[in-house]
Amino acid sequence: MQDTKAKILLNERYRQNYFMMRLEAGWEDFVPGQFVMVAVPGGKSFLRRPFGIARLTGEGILEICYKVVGKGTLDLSSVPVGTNLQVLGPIGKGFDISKGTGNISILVAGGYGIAPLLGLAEALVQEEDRSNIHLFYGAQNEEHLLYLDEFKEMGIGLHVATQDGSLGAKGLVTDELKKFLLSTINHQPSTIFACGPHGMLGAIKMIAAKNRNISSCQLSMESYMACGLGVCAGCVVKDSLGNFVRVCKEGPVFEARELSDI
Amino acid sequence: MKPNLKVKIGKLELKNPIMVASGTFGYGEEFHKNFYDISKLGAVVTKGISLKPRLGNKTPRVAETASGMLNSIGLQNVGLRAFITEKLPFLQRVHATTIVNILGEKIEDYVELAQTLDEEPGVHAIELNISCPNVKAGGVQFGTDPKLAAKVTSSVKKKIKKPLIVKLSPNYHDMPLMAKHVVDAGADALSIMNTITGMAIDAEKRRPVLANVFGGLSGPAIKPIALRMVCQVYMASKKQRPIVGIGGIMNITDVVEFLLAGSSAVQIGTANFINPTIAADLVDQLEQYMIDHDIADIKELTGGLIV
Repeated sequence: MQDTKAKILLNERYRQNYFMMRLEAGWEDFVPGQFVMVAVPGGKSFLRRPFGIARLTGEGILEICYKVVGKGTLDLSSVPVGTNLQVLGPIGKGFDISKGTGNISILVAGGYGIAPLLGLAEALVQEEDRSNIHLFYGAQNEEHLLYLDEFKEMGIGLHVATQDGSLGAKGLVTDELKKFLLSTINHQPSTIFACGPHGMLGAIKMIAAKNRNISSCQLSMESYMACGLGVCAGCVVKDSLGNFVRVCKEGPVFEARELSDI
Repeated sequence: MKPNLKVKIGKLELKNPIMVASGTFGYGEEFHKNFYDISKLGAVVTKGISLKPRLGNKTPRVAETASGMLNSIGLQNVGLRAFITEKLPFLQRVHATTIVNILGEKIEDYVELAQTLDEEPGVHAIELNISCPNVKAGGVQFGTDPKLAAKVTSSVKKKIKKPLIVKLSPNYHDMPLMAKHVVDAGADALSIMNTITGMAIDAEKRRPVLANVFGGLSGPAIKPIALRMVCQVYMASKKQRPIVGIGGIMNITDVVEFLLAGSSAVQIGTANFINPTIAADLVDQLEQYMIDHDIADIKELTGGLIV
């Protein structure tokens, strides 16, 4: 983890309320699923804002994709290219792809939870047979689907669901996941990697608990957060023993069975 | 010539007056591992330690506010045993000047904590967090009852050799009176101040933002109040004890303001969340400030306010 002054190379509306930002961080490495804390200029946002890392190029260019949800992200969306931002990262425990070597890799994303799964998919295609990698991606409608072209180019299995049916199956992505598990891979060991809304992660945890072929179900958790350093204990979630564990330190990626309040 | 930044808190000499506040620095590991040598600081004040581990409150525990933040962590900590076996050895190994913040539900808890820690060579001083409810007295906070605050202070002081700092709560209306009680009871120094109770509301949901409803306000929003309280206590004290100023310090000017108001040392709190190297930076900046202003000894600044 380091605190870097990074120049903004790109900060533009991707679609709807989603923005893409690229920063010259100069970092060498990250684990997919890790995140950054970004200081928002302008003086109105006191605390830094956490964002999942979408990817980090070989040249050390960091990419995040964020949704404007409040004053911090609204201010961030208008910061001009060329501005230097303080960026703390990479933070936390990311996805562990070594646990699923040789397994079917099942990526599940809801909404802009897709961002950290982009970096994960890029890492997985280096290690695994592409036909063994599947992305299940759900959103409100077609307009809320991000990075679809990038995933298509990778040649992995794509399973899209939208609530209004504007693209892919109509309904919940977790229903698509259930159908897939029933029809195809019931007898093949699988690993789930998921990022998205709390409700979706809860549904995935239940699905994984019922399927003995899923050896690892890794969920990326979101939380209100003050420091990102592991010291304020603001971002905790409850583990299976009833203890509070920090999303920024023990997480953000947890084994589903190690969490109790989801 | 190199200016003298050394200050004394009771018998304890600090290499400089820049400390970090309890609850904003964990047990020091994260900062030392990632950012700087924490032995550079005047002192590290640990996260508040209780006899038994505490789980803490439900989430959300933090909320951003105008120029600050609210927290209701609920004093989550590893407990005395794990602190001594798992956290303290690290602080000792890196030669951090360590002040342990302690909290209890009854006077006996504080005494047991302080006595045990007094025996530990890695502990340099004790800071009493009296912003806790006293279970035996129906939940009233030690820090909002001067007699109770004095009683816990004297009970602890009698049993320990190391310097005792008492961290005062701003949630009591008469800070000089509270300070007098605590000093008369034997406090070697006063930390002024803890967070101010506040709340945040989500108007759309018509709900409090924090699961605990109320929380402690920190950050620059509380700095003017903290300065006033330091200044009041400094001016009113007949029996002078060092004051450790705390409340929304973000930069070197803030540090100097707290010293002028009457502080001998300061604690950097919420700013550690915003800029992880701030406390170490302020040590360098304070020395540079003294050189630039031709100040030979840091004590010249303490209480140097012209009124």
